[in-house]
Amino acid sequence: MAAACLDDGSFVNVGIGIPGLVPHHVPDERAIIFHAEQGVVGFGSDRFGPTDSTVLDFFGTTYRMRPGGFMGDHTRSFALVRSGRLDVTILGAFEVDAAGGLANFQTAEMSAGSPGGSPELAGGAKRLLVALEHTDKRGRPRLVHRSDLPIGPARPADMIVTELGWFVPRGDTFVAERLADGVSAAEVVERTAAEVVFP
Amino acid sequence: MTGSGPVIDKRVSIDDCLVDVEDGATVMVGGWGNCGTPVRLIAALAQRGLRDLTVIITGSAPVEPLFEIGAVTHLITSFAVYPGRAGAASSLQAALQDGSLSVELCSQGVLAERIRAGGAGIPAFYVEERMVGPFRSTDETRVIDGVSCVLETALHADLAIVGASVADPAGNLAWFDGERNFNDPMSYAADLVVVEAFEMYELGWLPPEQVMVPGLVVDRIIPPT
Repeated sequence: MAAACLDDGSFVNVGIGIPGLVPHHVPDERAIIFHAEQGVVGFGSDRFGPTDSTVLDFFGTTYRMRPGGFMGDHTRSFALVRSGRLDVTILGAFEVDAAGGLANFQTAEMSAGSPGGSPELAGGAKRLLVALEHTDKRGRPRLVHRSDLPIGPARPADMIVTELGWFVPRGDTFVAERLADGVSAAEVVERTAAEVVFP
Repeated sequence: MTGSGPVIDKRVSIDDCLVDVEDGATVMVGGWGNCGTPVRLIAALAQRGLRDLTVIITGSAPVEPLFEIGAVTHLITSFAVYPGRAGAASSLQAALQDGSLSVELCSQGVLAERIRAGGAGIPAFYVEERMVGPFRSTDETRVIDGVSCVLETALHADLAIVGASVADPAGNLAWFDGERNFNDPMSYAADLVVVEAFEMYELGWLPPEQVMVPGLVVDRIIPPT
């Protein structure tokens, strides 16, 4: 669903977790330029080829470069990010609050945090999407009115994409822009820890 | 080779390359996750059995061998405890819990820029406050062109250990496949720069315009096995 949110020609960063799956769901004919933190621009899914160039992500997953890609270093990479050239950043999060705040770097079980590059990836993007599962493994909502976890990026999310639909944080409520096929408003309400508005 | 002058050869053995590193050193470690990481040099550093190290690295996992021997007291990083491994017992978690390790979190691109500044003779720089969130090296803020900015200090180390996709004996470096990452800026940012070469070529094989880091900033090279 997140892949469907992207316009052709856009320059997109995908974070770790669910967002990292997005390039694998983008059809070959879509002209989307993906950015990875270590300075790699223009990779696609592993279907792209033939090419002799591959790139590893943080966890060692292999992506293929599309023709015309670029590989720099971390300083060049984040120069592109902070200077406002990213059209879209897609981040994961543990929880997201109704003001669009991302609890994305530390849970109660973690004795120290991992913000990665998310403050800049969020701050430098024209649009910030959050892609996450609507509830955690124990069924607890990840869309909450206010999170008990610390908020990382200073910039709030514009849109939240879960398996239940698309949601826009409006300060105190989430607006359900679109529900996934077969999902009822009642199910969304039951699995969300904040007021949800259905336009 | 044509021309005159002494032949520069910075190759040393893995056993000799870190003998003069001391307790209390600040150490930068290059790589990004599994990509371009100098794993043999990390193992060699762990073998030294040093104490009280400050380690600067994107993510903590590759330097777990240093936490296992209690070598690290301060960590500057973007990924301290990985979300998927929060419940897993590790020496880093134990050190955090018993208070013997402190962590300074830094957004990944600001971390890279602080290292770049440290290698470029820039003591500090301003970055937009909205880019750092709660992760900042100083509380000093200033409005520049109407934008709220925070002062970020440069990072410089006693030792940098970095990986290079290719190197020549003079220490000229280049990278493939996303392996450049933090290895490039860290190569400039330490008093002693030791490189683990994944491939080695003779002097002159790399055209000058394709050398990404010049050999003059590199002190020692470990050839591939």
